Amino acid sequence: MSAPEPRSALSAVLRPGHSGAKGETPVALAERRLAIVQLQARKVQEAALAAAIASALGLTLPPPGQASSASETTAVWVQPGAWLVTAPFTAPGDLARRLAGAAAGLASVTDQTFGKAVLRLSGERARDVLAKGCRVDLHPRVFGPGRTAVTTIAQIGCVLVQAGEAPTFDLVVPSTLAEAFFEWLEASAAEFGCEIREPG
Amino acid sequence: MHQIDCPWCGVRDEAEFKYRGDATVTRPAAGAGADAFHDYVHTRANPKGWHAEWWHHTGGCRQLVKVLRNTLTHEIRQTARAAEPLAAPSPETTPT
Repeated sequence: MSAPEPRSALSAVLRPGHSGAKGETPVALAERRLAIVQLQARKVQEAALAAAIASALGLTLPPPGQASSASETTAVWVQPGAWLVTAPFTAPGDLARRLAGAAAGLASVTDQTFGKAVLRLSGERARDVLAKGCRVDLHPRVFGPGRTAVTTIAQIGCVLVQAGEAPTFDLVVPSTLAEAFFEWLEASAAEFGCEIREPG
Repeated sequence: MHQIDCPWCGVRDEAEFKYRGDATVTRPAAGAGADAFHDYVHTRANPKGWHAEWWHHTGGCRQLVKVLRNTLTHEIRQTARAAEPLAAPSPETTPT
């Protein structure tokens, strides 16, 4: 018997098209289908883990509030000694196996690919869309590309990553709450208009 | 509404935290007896003024944070990681 086909937590609600007002500066919203793995360093192994990940993936484990990338793999600090690592989705378990191999004995590796969902919000008004539910100051004066925050948006626990200058934000939420989160984003973006794109 | 400077995440809104009680009590030794444990669990000074407290950053890094807060004015003067002490209280930060 083969494993069930992976299915996105958002496939039921996320339909490409336009929603909300026909504004001049609509935001864009799309699901990102990524492999997601949490790394939690074992006690006093943080430096050894950072060295092992750097040598195996060429990836630097970033300090609090920051993300770092190497080719298409990204690490985001989420709590002391813990990082969320994302990479393009290939097959279930691929990224977790790679990381478990590199971090054997140094970290606990938990595959979150289907436990979390990632939404990418971009456009000139993206900060205004988030401001209605996010208490972190995202003004470019204090927040910019490569910055991250583990916070609560619309009462849903969220890892927020600024991925680009546009601004572009990646929002990582629990997959069981992804539908509610998407509906809140869509409602919040309605006044500017929202282009919902194919999953990337 | 408090703004709490989490030593890991930076300044965050109180809504991301849960209050976890008095940070000045220390657990008695195992053989200290029922009275010592009664005090440890139940007896609190309830000070008016500066007070060291635990706040749990449940909506962020999920760490316990030590906070020096004025219970009268709600001013927050200092925060520290769980394993680190708050700086020695000056006369004006001594609970009144």
